[in-house]
Amino acid sequence: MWFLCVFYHRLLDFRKPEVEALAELFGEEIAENETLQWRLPEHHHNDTPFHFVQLSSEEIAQNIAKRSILVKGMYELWGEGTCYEELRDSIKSYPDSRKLPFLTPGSTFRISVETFGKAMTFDEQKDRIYSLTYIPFEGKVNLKNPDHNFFLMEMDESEENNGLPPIVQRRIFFGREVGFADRKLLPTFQLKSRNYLGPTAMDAEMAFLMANQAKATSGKLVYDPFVGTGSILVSAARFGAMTMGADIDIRVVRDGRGPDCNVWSNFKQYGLPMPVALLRMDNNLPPWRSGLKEIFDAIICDPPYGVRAGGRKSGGRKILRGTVDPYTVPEDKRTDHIPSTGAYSLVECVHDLLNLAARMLVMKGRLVFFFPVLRDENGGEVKFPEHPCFKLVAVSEQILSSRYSRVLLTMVKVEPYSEEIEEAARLMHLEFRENHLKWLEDGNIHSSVFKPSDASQIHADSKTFKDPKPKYRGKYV
Amino acid sequence: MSIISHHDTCVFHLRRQPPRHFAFLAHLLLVAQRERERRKKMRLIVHNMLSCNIKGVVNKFPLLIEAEKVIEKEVDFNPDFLRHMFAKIEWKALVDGARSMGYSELPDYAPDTAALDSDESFLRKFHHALLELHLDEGSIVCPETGRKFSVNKGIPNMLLHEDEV
Ligand SMILES: C[S@@+](CC[C@H](N)C(=O)[O-])C[C@H]1O[C@@H](n2cnc3c(N)ncnc32)[C@H](O)[C@@H]1O
Repeated sequence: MWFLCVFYHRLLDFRKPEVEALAELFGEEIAENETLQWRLPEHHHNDTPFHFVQLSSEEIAQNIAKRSILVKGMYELWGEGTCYEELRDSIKSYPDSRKLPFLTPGSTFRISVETFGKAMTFDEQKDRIYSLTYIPFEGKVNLKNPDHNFFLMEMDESEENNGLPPIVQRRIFFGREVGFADRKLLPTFQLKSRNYLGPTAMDAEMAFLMANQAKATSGKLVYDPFVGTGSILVSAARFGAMTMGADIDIRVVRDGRGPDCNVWSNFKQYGLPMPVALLRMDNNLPPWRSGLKEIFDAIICDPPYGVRAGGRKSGGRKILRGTVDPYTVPEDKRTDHIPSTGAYSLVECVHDLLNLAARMLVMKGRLVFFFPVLRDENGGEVKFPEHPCFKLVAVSEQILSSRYSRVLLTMVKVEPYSEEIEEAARLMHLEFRENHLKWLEDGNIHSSVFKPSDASQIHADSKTFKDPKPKYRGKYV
Repeated sequence: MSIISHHDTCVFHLRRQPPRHFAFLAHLLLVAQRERERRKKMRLIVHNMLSCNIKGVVNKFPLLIEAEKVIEKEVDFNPDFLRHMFAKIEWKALVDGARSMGYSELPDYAPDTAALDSDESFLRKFHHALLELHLDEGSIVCPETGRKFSVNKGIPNMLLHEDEV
């Protein structure tokens, strides 16, 4: 069945991947190497909020909408057109067998009018609704809690902006609502009201999107190797998953800001189950027992990139370079000793992350993480890290500034882990590192991406999406 | 859980009292905080995943548990999750770990996976050992070198010293 899928007009590049991940989660059968079928309304640009998606049942469409962050609603389309005459013909020719069950005398209904990029007075809305009398509604109107919700959506051709083509053309849709999103989640979980916060805490909307990409749900175990204040795991726990996290920084992961302001208290605040474990460890030298594998259903993280939130790993700079021997910690100082650490490069960090995921994820388990990129005006292709165990299934870009973006990568484990594969991965890594280093030379990405100031800027940008003159569009929103 | 919410309500009510109760109130707050602290401790599920990764160490798993105090806390029972974990667990390490935390109801040998579906009392015991036993402050210790990894506020500190990597 085709459904009209209407999105919020934000984080455009994240919208379809979210629906695709949720479709799988709710049992949509998708053949290997295939994705969901999508279709655009006539003459609409890909950035439009209106899309058609093919799903095998209304129940799946409903579940997706309910759980989604970016889907405003899913609708069964009864008719469409460029004017009201066309709409009428289209609705009339839609089969009665699909319409009549929702128009029965015993039922209640409501019709709402929605517009995109245009304003409509209350009287205009009423006129539009009364023009629909050719539909044999026999139920009673109930505005508060109707059995059936109908929507009339109208949009005019949008203006060009910043030289980009218009995204919608004049079109009217009429349909029955099948499911809608619960955005109430966002005010409840917004960082402003979070008990324990750090400079790189993940914003609630993005954290939920990440948990959806990871298909977090009850009975699954989700791991964040760079847990920080735990904000990503909070979203996974909200969707019912068991969680576990680790961080190298003892102040962040253990001490927090006092006895009731730490990673644990962030779960308590929302009445969510505590993580099954929090650990202090170095993801470059993880203490997993040998033989342990395929234990996590998903790994979700925002790895340490950049200067202030940059990665560290065990061993001081000079020790790692080999210029000095490690300092032998005297017996009496060992308990409180804070080991020195050296810088942890982005390439190495990503390599360790892929290896961890290859070994510790169950088959079909998902690795979801952010990766920084330099925006290339010449449209050159960005090379993402690869691993023979993984297939890249979604790439969603969020632009941070004129030069830098971060990309949310979703990878699925398609091959079991083995020693041969580890060797192949090492070679792939060397090649990636080579290319990456060249690419870094002109970018100095370490000092520019993921500064907290950038992060707050995205936040502000994303709030102004209603601005009549948005600076960016598409994935730039 | 019940003890904690009890303290929470105490604090809540007392907050409305006149300020001369302040010292007493502060004391109660402290008690409530300590009580909350106790809720989150290292559990055997993670003990079962960890080993001593000091360079050159051969006999590195399982880590011995030095428990100063053990608490039990109820956790939601999720059979699907337990079935998934059962296949991944080193049984002997779990049995020994549970014993060193004062719980000896687990069978010495892991039963057949069929028991997971047919024997609910077994599944409950497994659940209890894996998720409900919490190590209060203490350490986990490398069986070969005796290196102690402290468990503090529920968080095992697995970071190595410079001369161990
Ligand atoms: C970008 S922050 C993640 C923040 C987290 N998403 C949150 O919501 O608070 C990266 C984290 O990685 C940690 N980190 C850096 N190097 C590490 C390493 N080698 N192993 C484990 N954690 C590390 C840092 O201490 C920091 O907390």
